[in-house]
Amino acid sequence: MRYRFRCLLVVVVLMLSWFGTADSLLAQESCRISVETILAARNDNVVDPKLKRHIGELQSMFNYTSYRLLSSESLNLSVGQSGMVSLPGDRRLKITPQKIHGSRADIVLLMMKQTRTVFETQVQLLNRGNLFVGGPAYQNGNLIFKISSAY
Amino acid sequence: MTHPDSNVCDEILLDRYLDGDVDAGERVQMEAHIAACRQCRRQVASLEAFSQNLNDRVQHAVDSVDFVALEKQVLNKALRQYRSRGGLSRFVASLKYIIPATVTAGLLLFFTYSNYVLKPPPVPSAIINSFTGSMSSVMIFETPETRQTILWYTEETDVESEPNAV
Repeated sequence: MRYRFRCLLVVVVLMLSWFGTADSLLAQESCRISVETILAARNDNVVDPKLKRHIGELQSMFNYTSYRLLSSESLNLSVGQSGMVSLPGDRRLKITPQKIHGSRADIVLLMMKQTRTVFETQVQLLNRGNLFVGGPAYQNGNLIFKISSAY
Repeated sequence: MTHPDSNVCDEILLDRYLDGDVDAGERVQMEAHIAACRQCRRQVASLEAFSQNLNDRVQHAVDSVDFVALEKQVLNKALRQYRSRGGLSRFVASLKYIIPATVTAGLLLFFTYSNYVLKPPPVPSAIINSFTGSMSSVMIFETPETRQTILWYTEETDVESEPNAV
């Protein structure tokens, strides 16, 4: 009996771990959103070591020579809850996870500069995936915001 | 065989006499009868010859047998049977470890294969469902290998923007 119970326990643990990593069907209530602000420029060849892993592919697409990590901020947000991230140039990014389903999270991003809204977008962000939002000029380069989610 | 009283041949008594299964009185009477009866003398001689022949053959057969080798053979056979029974029971006993171990290994293999080896082709890291705003330009594209989604925009009032960055 004890032996059967152990076998059953092993099978249950393995099945749960499999479901857990294979995009669990269990509903997720919150997610961790991180926003990294990168300054891309051409005045030197410095690439922040922390960015090397993610920037490699971007370097083949952009003609910037340097990528500097200006700031990094993480938010633990429940579904429906909004979080605000301050960005350079008097910008703010309002982030609101709307729904988490399967391997993606529906997130609303609202970019504001001073008091006006620059854009509002609704994205389906892959779990542990990144969305690079870039373009605003800043200092001698352009800002790129790496927005990623994990749950 | 002769009956003591009737002097008649009695085969049953003759067989008993030959087997030595008679009392002293019967023996004396049988000996007297055999001495007088030719038929019973012949039968006694025939049976004694047969018995002797049989004994000789049995003795010969027994002499030709190597009892040491036979004993070894019997012992080996018994040992084999014992070991095979013991081996089978050990195998059956070990099944209670082998089966869960196999099942666990199979599940681990399945888990590893489905999650790490059998990686699906990359999908876009982000799907943009809607986009509104006031800007001079916007581009949405993705990196070729890992399909990282990039949203590139130029603000309307951004005098420092670099439209040719990409």
